[in-house]
Amino acid sequence: MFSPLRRAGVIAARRSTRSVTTIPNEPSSVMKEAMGALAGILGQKDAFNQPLAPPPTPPSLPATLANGPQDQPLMLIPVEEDPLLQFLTSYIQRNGERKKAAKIVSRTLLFIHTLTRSPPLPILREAVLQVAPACKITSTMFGVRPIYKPVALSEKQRTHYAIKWILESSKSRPEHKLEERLAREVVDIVQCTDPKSQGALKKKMEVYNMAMKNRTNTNMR
Amino acid sequence: MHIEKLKVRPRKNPAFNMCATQLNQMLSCMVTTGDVFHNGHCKTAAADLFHCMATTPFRGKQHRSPINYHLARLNKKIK
Repeated sequence: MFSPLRRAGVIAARRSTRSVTTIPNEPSSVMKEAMGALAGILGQKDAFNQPLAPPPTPPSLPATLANGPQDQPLMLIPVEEDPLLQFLTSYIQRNGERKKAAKIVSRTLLFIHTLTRSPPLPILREAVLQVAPACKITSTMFGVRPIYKPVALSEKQRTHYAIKWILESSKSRPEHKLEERLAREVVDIVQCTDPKSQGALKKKMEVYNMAMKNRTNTNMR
Repeated sequence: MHIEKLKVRPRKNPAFNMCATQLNQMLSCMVTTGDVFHNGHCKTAAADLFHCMATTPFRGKQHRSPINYHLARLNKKIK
């Protein structure tokens, strides 16, 4: 029933892609406008502001159909899949086997929940936010010696590096299954007190130390 | 006077370093305060950088001067 509206919403929303690492309770104003453009008959306010909330029950058709668009309540259709989970699934999948990767991600969330007894998605998001670097180091040759220059990263690039480093550091764990290793790694990142001992955070620290040393090169060619 | 190959070395375009100011501010803050993971004092500086990266449009190919093309074309007209 919602599929044509959902499709229109996806097209409208693609113009301003929903950010992967922002907190779901703070959507952009452009996103709000895109959702507002689909103001429909059945309405539920603030449904998009809380995508992790339980799905709304559809109410009966109100008598406001005859009124103008100003009187119609907003219909906020939540996105089908969380962008961060989509990103993680795409990174894990091989040879086009999407369902296999989706199962791994699903079981990872289950493991996180069993380890922490709390909602797993905010924990995953927090871990990705903590590991994601704000910049990377590019090197160019200036004659004989290399010049290291810090370059700012976009949100998608930051998420990519975070997921890459988390997966790499989870390889050193003894558990057999990827989902368990990944879950324990995520929980370790969130609970970590000493970044030097944690694999992914140590990698981030190395990048930042290099960036701080070469911060004068940011304006160079 | 006959010049076999008429060519100049045109000036390079200025480098485009996206959000370099904000990045520099964040890194300077991290060095002075020691807040390596920008959780405390450098949180606003980091937020500024992230906002800049989210809003700045990416600059594509920059215009390069075709002076050498015109010089090569007109060279044969010069006696």
